[in-house]
Amino acid sequence: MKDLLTNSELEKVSKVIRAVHHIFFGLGIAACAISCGCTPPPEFKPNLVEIKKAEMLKLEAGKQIPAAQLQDLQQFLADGFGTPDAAKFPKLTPDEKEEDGLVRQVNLQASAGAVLSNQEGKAQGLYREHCVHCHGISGDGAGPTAMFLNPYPRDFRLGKFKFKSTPLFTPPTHEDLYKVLYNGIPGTAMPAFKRLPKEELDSLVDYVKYLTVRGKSERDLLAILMEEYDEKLDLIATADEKKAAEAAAEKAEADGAEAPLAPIFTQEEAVAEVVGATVEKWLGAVDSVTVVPASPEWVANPSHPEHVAKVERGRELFRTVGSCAQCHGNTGLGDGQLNDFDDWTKDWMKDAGILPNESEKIRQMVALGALPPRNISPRNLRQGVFRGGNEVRDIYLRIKNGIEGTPMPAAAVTLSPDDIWCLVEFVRQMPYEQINRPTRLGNKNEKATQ
Amino acid sequence: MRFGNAILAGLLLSTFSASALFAEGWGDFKGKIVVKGTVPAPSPIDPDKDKQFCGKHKLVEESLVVGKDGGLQNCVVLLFRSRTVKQEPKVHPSYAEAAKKNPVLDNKGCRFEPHVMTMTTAQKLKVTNSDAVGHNANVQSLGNPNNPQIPPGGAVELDMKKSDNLPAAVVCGAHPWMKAVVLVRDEPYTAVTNANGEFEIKNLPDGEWIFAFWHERGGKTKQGGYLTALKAGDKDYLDKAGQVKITVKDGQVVDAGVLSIESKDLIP
Amino acid sequence: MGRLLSWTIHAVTILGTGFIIWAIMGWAPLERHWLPDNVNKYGPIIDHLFNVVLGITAVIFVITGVVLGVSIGKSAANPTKPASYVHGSHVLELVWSIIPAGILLFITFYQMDAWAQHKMRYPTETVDGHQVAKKPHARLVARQFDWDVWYPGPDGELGTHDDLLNTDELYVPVDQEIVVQIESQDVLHSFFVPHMRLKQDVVPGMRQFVWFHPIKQGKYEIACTELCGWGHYKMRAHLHVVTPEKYAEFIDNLAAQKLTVPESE
Repeated sequence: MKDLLTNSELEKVSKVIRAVHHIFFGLGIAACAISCGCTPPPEFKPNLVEIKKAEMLKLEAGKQIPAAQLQDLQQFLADGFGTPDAAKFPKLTPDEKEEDGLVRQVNLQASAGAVLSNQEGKAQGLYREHCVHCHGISGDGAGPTAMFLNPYPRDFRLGKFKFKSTPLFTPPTHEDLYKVLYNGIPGTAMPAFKRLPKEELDSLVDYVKYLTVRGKSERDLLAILMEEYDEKLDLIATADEKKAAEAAAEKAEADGAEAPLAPIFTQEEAVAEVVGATVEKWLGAVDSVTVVPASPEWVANPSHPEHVAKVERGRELFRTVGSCAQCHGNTGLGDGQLNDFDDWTKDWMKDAGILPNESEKIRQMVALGALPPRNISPRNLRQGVFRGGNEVRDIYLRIKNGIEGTPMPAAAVTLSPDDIWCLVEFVRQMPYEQINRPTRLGNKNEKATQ
Repeated sequence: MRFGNAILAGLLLSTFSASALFAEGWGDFKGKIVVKGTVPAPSPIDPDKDKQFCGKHKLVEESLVVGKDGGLQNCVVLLFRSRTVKQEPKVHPSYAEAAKKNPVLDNKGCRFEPHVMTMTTAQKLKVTNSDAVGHNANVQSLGNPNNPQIPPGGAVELDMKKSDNLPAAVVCGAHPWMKAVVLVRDEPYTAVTNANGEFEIKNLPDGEWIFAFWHERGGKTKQGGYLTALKAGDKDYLDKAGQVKITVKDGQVVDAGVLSIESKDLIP
Repeated sequence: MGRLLSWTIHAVTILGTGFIIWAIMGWAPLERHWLPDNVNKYGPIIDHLFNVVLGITAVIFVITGVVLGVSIGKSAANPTKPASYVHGSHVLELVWSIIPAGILLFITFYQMDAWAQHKMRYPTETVDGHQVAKKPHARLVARQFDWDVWYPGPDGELGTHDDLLNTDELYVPVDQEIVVQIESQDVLHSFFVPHMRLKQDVVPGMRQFVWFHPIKQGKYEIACTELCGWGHYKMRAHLHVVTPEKYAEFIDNLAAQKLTVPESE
């Protein structure tokens, strides 16, 4: 039995094993202790895709915007809008009152920062608790889970929103955004946040507006920088620097020498002009709300004597004057025709001159933070899923105003409110109508729905 | 804040604005743009939507239309405008009549007619649909965005109240190959070169004006941009930024002559 | 070492039992840590079964805990006593196979009726003298991370175009048999109403029915009890048990909001 260990050998072996265990245990404790409190605070990401697009559009191949100018831009945004942990909203004028502004500071504070407490009434870090993993820390719609979702989460920075009560190219109102949070968006990964108290929802809406204005200002400033671009151009400087540069320009003018470039903006000018333009539009949105006329009696009322006729009129409009069938298909399956992209994709593809088959350029953009492009298809109306809400007023607004950011246009101005209600009713009952036995137009004796 | 910018612009651009205020006479600006070198024939478009209807018309890509003797069509001649450069000339009374009419952009044969047009903010853009299929006019103007549906045989009138610095695209969502270009300005001093590449802008006020030439094949990408390589004879007609400063005198015509551009300088 | 282990095991037995008794009695700080109020007519049988199983396992828990603790303590007390080498005991093997099997068999038959009541006996009602299956009161669609409730609209039928969608609020009239149709839109969820003693996994692709008979008005919690993603923790809804009049009023208000646009002021 020479294989068995002697007692002393056994002791040695067990000592070694114990020592190894102690070392690993100690390392584990140390690792935990070190990593706790050592994660750096999150930062807003610069809009790298937009920068690259600007370079592609305006600069010679291979040239880049100098880091100093980009740093200027980020510094301005940080000074005006703060950080993800300490959010603030710039005042457009020194004596601007908070009640007249777009957002409330108390709301921003509740949404910004790390999640500290989920006791009711003591909310903090709401955005990071509920939104950031899809919508991203900068509101770019490219958070960690975004790639796995279809449709992608909204990129706030273009300032375009799909489901609202205002017409195309007008921002949504506070109530529009509140409604989206409250009801969620059926058919997408956006859940309903109905369970949250009103104060928390208001706070999140204000934070969304904050991210939108911040992101849009970044884009607008970049566009202004590129408009008359020179790599020595200063985007934003202090008031003194600007005055000095203007004085130098005057002198050079008088001497007949070439005038040195003056900074485009001071901090205040940039806020007033660029941020101000967006904020003005948002504040004015509530005045542009489309009023939905009262619904006729036959809407959602199959026992009403006019109901069948109105649904048939809706069907006729769908196929002819409304031109709906062209994209949505004759049977509403969304199999009409479209291989288009939504505006958030076209913003960095078509607008940058990238064709859908230029995969190398697309790869470059995706590496900078864009999401892989997906075609947008017309809605399959037979599923009865209405993303913007399935109240009759919601469907009316989608038809009348179109859907911003998508190829869905605003309904022809030749459609009267009654016509649009006919379309609403037709669309609402379409999922419950047998696809292979729709009523043939002209055969008034057949019932519309079996 | 904006006043500061205006003052700066005035200082940097010396006497342009100043001279405009004292215009008393009116002159014309004309010229002809030709393309030198081989120009590929327009490539045909295969419509993949509404094939039955749109396939009947032989559609071609219209971003580069060159006449028999090389005349470059559809080039927009406009006063250069940017955030800092704002040229606001007085409008000659002869334009008052035209301002009352509304220009028409027609959807016909699954293409927009005209392909490139200009208009003023006093007019409304009338978009008509002469086809049997529906179209929509997605007007991608920065100041006047719009996207109405136009039913077959229908028409819409769009307010275009804001002046754009650059021409904007109009596309149809249902038929993505359909594209038009519209420039909306306060002033009527814009022109689109005709089939021979000729343009003429009448009754500009006295003074110095900066003009630029915009084309769908200008700039750096397929979005269109300023032409920078126009030559008058052997010399460069435009400066580095693609602009030319002309001096208009009362009763005289500023004739740019024949301006040429190499076909290789137009993006493919 | 052995003595410490023995006392530890005794402590576990005592504390564990004590803890459960403390929770059952509802003494501070363990108030409301035991079963919530039952408001389902068929709930008591579930509670009864729960207590039976708890009692059986409690007895076994105490016996095994004591035996383990005492035997370890005894061997610790006599460290030099040589270990006995047991060659197996046929009797012991039979005992500890038959007794647990018997207990389990007993539980199986004892609960059959409760299982059938909750999962198999689809409620019926008499219509025109025939017994027909009761129509679902509402259709609940679970999705990440809320519960979408579809009520039949003014026509009274589920599955027509005037159905009303509400989120996270399931209203039912009191003192009636309620059948709810549950579906999932995306991943596995589980429909859990503690006050109704009701739990059913919502499987994507399956349409299932749950039923209960509320006997007391109130607002009760619906929770998701199958991990379904990052928002699983907050995927809650409310079950409102109200009088039939209040329920009708709720449906009327919902219909007015969803199906009409009133004249604006």
